[in-house]
Amino acid sequence: MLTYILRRLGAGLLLLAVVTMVTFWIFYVLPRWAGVTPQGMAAMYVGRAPTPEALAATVDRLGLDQPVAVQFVEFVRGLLFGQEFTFGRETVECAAPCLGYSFITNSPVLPQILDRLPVTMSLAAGAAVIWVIGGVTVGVVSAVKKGSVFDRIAMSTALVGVSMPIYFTGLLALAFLVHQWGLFPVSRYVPLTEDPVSWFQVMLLPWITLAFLHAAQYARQTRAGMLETLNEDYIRTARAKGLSERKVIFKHALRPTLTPIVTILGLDIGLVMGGAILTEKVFSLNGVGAYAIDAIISNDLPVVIGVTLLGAVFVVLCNLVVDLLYPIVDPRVRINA
Amino acid sequence: MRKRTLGFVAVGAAASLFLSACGAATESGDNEGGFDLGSTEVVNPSEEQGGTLRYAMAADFDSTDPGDTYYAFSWNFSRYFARTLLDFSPEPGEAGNELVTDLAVDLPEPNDDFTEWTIEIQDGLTYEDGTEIVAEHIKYAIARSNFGGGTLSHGPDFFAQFLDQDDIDVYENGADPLEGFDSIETPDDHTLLFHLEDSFSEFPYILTQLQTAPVPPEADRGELYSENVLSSGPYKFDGSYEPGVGLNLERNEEWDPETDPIRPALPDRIEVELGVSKDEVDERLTNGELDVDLESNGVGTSMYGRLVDDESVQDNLDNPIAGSLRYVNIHAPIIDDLACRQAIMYAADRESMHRAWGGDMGGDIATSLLLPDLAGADTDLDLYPSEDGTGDLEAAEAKLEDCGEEDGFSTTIAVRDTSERDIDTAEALQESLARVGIEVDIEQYPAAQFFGQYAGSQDFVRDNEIGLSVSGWGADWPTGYGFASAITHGENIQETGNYNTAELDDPEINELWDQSLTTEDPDERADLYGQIEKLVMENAAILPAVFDRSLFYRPDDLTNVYFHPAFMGYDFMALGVDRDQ
Amino acid sequence: MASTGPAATAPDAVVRVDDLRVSFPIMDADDVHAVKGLSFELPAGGALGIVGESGSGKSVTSLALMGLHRGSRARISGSVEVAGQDVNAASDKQLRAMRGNDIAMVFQDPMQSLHPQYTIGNQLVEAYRVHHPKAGRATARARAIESLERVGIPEPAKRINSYPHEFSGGMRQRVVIAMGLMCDPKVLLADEPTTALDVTVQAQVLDLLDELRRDLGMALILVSHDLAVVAGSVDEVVVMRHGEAVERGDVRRVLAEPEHAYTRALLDAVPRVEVSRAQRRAQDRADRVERDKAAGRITEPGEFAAFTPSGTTDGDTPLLRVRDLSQRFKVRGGLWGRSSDFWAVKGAGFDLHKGQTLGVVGESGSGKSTLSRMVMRLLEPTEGTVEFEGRDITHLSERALRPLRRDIQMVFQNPYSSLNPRVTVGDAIGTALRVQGERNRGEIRNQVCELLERVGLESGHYNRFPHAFSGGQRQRIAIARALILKPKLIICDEPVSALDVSTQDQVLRLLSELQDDFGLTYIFVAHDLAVVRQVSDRVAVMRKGEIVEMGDSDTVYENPQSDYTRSLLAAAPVLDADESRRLRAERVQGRAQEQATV
Repeated sequence: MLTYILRRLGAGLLLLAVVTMVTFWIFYVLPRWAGVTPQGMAAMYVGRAPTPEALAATVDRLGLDQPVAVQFVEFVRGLLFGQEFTFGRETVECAAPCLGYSFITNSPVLPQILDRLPVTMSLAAGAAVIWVIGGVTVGVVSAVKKGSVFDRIAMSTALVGVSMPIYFTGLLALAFLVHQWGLFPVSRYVPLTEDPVSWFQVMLLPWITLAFLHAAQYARQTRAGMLETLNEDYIRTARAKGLSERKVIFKHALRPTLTPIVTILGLDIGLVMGGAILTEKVFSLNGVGAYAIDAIISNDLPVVIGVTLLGAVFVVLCNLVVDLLYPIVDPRVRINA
Repeated sequence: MRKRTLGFVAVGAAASLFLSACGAATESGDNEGGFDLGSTEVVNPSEEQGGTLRYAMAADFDSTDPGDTYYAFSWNFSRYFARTLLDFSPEPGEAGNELVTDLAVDLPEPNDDFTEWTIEIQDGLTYEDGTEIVAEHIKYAIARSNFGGGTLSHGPDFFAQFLDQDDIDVYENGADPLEGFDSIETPDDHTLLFHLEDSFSEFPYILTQLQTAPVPPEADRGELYSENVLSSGPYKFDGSYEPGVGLNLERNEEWDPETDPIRPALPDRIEVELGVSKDEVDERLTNGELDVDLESNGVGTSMYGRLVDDESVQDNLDNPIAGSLRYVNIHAPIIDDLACRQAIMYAADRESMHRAWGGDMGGDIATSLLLPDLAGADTDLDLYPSEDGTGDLEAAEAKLEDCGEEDGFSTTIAVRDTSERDIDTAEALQESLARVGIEVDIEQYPAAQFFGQYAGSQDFVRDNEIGLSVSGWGADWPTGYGFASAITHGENIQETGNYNTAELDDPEINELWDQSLTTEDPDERADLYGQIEKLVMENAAILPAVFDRSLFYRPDDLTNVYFHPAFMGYDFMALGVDRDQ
Repeated sequence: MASTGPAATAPDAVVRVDDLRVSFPIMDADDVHAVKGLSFELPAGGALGIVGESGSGKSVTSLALMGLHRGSRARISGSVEVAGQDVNAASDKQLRAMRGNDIAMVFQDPMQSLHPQYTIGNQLVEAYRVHHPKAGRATARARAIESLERVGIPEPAKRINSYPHEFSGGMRQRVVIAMGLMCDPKVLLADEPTTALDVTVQAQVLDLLDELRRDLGMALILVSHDLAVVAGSVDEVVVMRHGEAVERGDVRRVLAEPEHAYTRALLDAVPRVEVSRAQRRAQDRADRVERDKAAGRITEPGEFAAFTPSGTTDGDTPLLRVRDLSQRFKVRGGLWGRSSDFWAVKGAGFDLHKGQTLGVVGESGSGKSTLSRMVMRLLEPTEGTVEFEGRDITHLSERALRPLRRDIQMVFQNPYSSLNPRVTVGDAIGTALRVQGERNRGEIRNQVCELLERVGLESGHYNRFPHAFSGGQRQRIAIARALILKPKLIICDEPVSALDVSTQDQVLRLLSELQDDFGLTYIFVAHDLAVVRQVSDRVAVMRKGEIVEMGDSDTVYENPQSDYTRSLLAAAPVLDADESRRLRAERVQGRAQEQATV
């Protein structure tokens, strides 16, 4: 078991290395191929008139004139062993794993990400709870009452749900629920540890909005899975035992239905943890996703690479957790080390 | 780039369309509101202290380090915790253009040829930690931001341009960071003596720069100083500045209001929320859930549409001249024949370019170079007149014949890919020029590198035969020189990052600029600027389109509100809130 | 039909079915009448067999007995009475109280009928507690262990915490039976309980059911498509066809003197292990001549010369020569991820001459499919050699194998999954010709149509999709597909095991006729001893990867040398109630001896 985890983590690390290289390649090598000079790249980080002197200073400061391979090795070294950065007369130790300092704001990338992580985690966790409970409940009821009015309404709503982008539902929700009718407070993120009530109030609308999108998908998935499971022989066996319909559905049919959903859930949570960019932007939550998109827009390379890596870490971890959970959920699956 | 999209320092008094001669704001008494009232008067005047003033914006500071910022809003805001030697008068309209003292006792004294300036600072000024502010701290602040080896790269570099100083790097100097920095002398703790390389009559304007806000060398942490700036103003950081997230300010008890003629410091607390989408900012602003859009570039397009047609909110709107000229550069090296350039000036349909820029609320049609409120500006100047402003096609065709291109010619216009209005303007010009056979291709380039690599790169312009480019410009300080020398003086032509994009290099114009630097009398200088304006237009290097305007929403419970032309937004220092919280 | 009418009501009947009709409404079509007026009854402790082919309505009937049509669209009339309770009139609650308590059910596929995600203990305890809500967990558990022990699960106290997938198929079926026993039901309803099982396991399960019935005094209803399966286990049998009982009566009488023509046909179609290859072949040929005569047509063997395998082999060189053939698979497992070797086939060797059939018989996991795949070179053998027409093909590259592919063809077990549902029958058959370079579409079509007719389909079927065909028809299509390239060797991997008895008979006949006509050579892989005997000249019996016995088929069947072959033969169901009981007694005795010696 331990070996298995170690081995998976090893594979995860390998994946992260590849992700790092690809990201590096996209943001450092591709521009050079496209003919952007180090000075050209530096121009993105110089605030005032990009005079040749200012550009040269910036190129030097950010090390953009070094070969990409050297920059990559530097980055990896920082990641593994930490690195020292000089600001003015001050030398700052950036301990491993060091993701460097932002080119734009000069703030250390990793602490910045960790600062924003609670926001993203709050968003992901809350939304996931809502979408799983909501989606599965609707899916089960729809499957059991297949063809009913509820089923039809729920499934058309779900169809609308999966096809509506967050920036549409989110802005609509903000405009009406918050500004027009005042059902939800206008407020910025409050940490759970500081004020659980406000945290809940502030996060509720983003949760619902993000959950709506996913819940729709889960409802459809659950319904389909449930209908399939209800046709299984062991459901007939359960009925033949004289079990009540409730027990048949909730004990015997629900579990196999949920099993594949666990996989999807793991992946979804991993992705959302990497940053629910649109939701965070629409609701002005300063999470990892908002950080990422701002960095991409302003070409803040260390941040872009940092958040990409972090996203990959979450996907790897969530997948690992799912794979470890899977044998518990479904005893037929054994971990083949 | 920031300069162009956001503007930074404004230009003289914001003479409004309607009330250019209205005089001082104090006359207007207790105004409750009215359309565009904030452009000329103090709305909701109040001396009521207390409450929390809430700012938000979509973007972020370029830096909260006063020595490392160039945005107009950032300058405006940083004054909460950074006091400078001089400042602009805290008044609306033209009066805001006047220089007043902040840290200084008096305006600076020049020597005979304007190469040396002496200024004295007040006694007994302290930082938030109670230590004394001395002249050497100001000297150091100027040195770190202009002679720091590129460490602080976001701010302007006027001191580097004007001081008689060899290149040094304060961050590379050893024990004494100011070693070799002798262009500023501090004979005592309260006096600064500036040595300039050349005569510069408008040097006092430079002393309004945030880079003159004092920084003790011990407190300087290079790029990291922005996390927590040592305050000299009425407010100090409450916790660190969190990039992309926010900044909170609380009262600085060490600040002495007696020494400060600029800041009433009404609110008890100031909060800034960053990364709030523009739509959300506008939404909150109009719902009373926010007090000020920190970015100060007016409401966004969707809110703009709603507000313009809503009768009930007209009294909450201000529509000031936002402080920049939108224009098209006609690149001399590509379209080298004057007559050909003049043909473009004649053929341009200013009316349709005005529409492209948003019509009346978007700005005023410009036919001259200088912003309307600069001394010496002549907005009636129109060397290429036409009926209804739609272009004089006959004159244009005659000019084309003069330059031997009877059938017209073709060229390329460069435009920033993110600015819809720039693109619309280029399209409007394309259509009007097509009427006389001048075919224009529109090429969009990334806004961030527009001047660094594209329209502002001499090689790129020549290789791609780019004859035109859409641009915009605000003033570094509110005089003709502060506005136009950067874009019309031949000396300012750069290989890359070239803002004199038309590459106008006229000996007569250059001479007049140099002459202004040694001219003491502001009126005489204004006269010189007027001459330059006319020459630039004769040279057909710049095709002015509009002097742009922004639409600001002014919430009801905001007090002491007025548009300050120098900061191109509401004067943040004056603002208070009338709320029970 | 005399015997199918409602019989005089026995006072002690525990199950009474009277004029049961079940129909399913179908949109835009006439209702499907699955059961049309069925009546029978079963005395307490009695045993009844319900036999019929697919679509006969036997499974619909068993579901009706449990009231499991509730909630579906089925329309039910007539009466079903179980332990005095009218199933059709009962409330849901009464029905639930009856299920599992008065009548318990054992389903066809033990792989599917247990919940994969709960331990068997959990499922057994649940079955008990639903009817004994006051019983404690410990009581229920003790009872479950007892019940598992009763059905012969070794170490039940330990195994109770295992999941279904940790049991073999036969053990799983025992678990299902144990679950049925939890509440001492009056009736045990077993619907095809052994269809998915190996012969020896089938015998064990049937033995167990019989034993339980006797020991516990339960009534048993055994539903099956195979008359031989019910022969030794029931007193009375009902033969169903198209929703009706065509014959009903004492099992001995029905097997010995069937009254109805369908029953007779059914009995004839069942392959009998005592019938030899020669007998069967002679019978088939005679039938064929008769049939052709009736159709006014004379078929000479070899008439379809075009399909005669090209090339000849010398009389001495076997078509196929296999020596010491072994296949090893790596099995990953263990904490350290070390893989262990698993020999699926070990040291198999045989010769196969042109025009002959080699039968390979064995239970699941015996390696018979792996062997055929190696011969086909779908797998590369780990050891040993395969020679085809004297040429060593053991390690030929895929490229070098290509010309050989047309000479060796395969027919698979599942006719449903081996045909692509989106390709028309004509294309499915003709593709191979195209692959081999035939360009003329008309020519391809002609050949395909000819072949379709030859395998008993119509040329008009050319443009239809597979779903339009029944299982037997699909298997004919699969055979046509294998034949189109005029192969020399056809490997049939369980070609008839998914088919009904009568269909199975037809396909076997077809294969036999084709062999006559084209001089085909077959390797016939199957688990059914009787089928293998009837088609094979030589038989290889496989067990755990090894050939335990090989020889002339009659010799192997009549004078088996290996114990394993003998036990297989003893387990094979026979169509004679008394013989079946005798064999059972032998088996029981054998097992008792085995236990005594341990």
